[in-house]
Amino acid sequence: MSESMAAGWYYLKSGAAADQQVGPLTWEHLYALPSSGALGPADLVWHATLPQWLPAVQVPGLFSAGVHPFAYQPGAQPPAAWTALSREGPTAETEGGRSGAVRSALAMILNPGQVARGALEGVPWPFCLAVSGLAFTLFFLQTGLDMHRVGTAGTGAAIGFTFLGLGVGTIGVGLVAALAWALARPLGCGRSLEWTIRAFCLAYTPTLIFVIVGLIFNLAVGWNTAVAFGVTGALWALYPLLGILKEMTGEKLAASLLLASVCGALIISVWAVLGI
Amino acid sequence: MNEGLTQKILTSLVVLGCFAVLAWLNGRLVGSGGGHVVLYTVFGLALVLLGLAALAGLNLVADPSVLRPWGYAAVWNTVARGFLVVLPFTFLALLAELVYDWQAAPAFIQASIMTSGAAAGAELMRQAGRKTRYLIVSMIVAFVFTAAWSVFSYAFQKVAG
Repeated sequence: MSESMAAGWYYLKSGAAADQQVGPLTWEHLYALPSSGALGPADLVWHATLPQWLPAVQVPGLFSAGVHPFAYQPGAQPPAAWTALSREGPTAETEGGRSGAVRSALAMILNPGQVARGALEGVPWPFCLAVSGLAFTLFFLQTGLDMHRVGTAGTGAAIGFTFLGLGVGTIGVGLVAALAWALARPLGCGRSLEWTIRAFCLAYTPTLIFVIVGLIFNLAVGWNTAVAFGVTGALWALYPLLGILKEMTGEKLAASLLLASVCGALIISVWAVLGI
Repeated sequence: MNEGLTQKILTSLVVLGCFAVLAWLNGRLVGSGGGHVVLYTVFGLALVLLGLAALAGLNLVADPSVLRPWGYAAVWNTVARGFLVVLPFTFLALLAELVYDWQAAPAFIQASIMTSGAAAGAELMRQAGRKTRYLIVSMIVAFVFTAAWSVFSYAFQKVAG
């Protein structure tokens, strides 16, 4: 069983309202519920690797003997029953490297919570760092190009901005992630610093898409795109950041919103101070 | 009043409050006086209420077998919970407008509506089962909502500017 399947389980009593769901729980905790009577066969169970909420009786290992996912040894193949249920199957890394990582990055734009709970574990850190590094490099490049176009910066300064962007996208995002990790620790964050940095870097996937489109308009049409595409792209990253922070704080919404605001403000302020 | 109901009402109020702030920031750019700003904010809030209602209603229509037993109020609450993502956007918009004087409120509004739509869809997926249709419906409504806000701003500026 992969490490991601050891935690992040939810259950919902049959007939209960949707907001009465319980979790996230570890597999060990969930596994103990049927014997205590707290979880019945008709109650619903969900995990990021499941295609949808399933009756507990259909989750391998909960009510059937001999297929206990938590007992899987590293490297062992999961039983066919589990593979058939799992929509995402293996992690991005084992699934086929780069294409799995790209899929996870794109999924981060629309459903970051799902990526944070599962597939992120398999995305290699150089890929994550490349996403945020490239996003901010192109963002700052457009800032330099805009300033060069209106005559407030020379060619050297524009090139300098580009390198500054690389630093912000790698070291800067890493430092903001480290700050968020440190602030989330007292709130019960069980994720590692390395996981947090990877997640934060990958959260800038929407920024990367925006700045690529912006650069095309900047070069082809001569528009000033740093604010229209760069800042908007950086704003889009707030949503993935919030999903990651919710995962880190155990779905504590108020704390996640506060941390996302602080992290977003730091990044925007760095650009405002350096770029204007 | 029970705690759950208070929390749900508070969630909707926070969302509406944030959009009121964003509308006020944008109203300062498109209006030409205090009265115009207030009018723009009121119309903006009406648009937000319409957008939220449409988002909840269309998701209900898209998946009646699952969402009808919840009732419209529960779907609205789930959507509003997703829309809480607007809070950091509002904080950053205030920072950008009042501290850095960027005059970029429209960009903040558009980004916040689109991401709120995605977040509402994801919240429905989380609570009602992982059906992609929630995300698709929510994103389409959010896109229409964003376009409607832009058209409204343009028209308001023409009339009142």
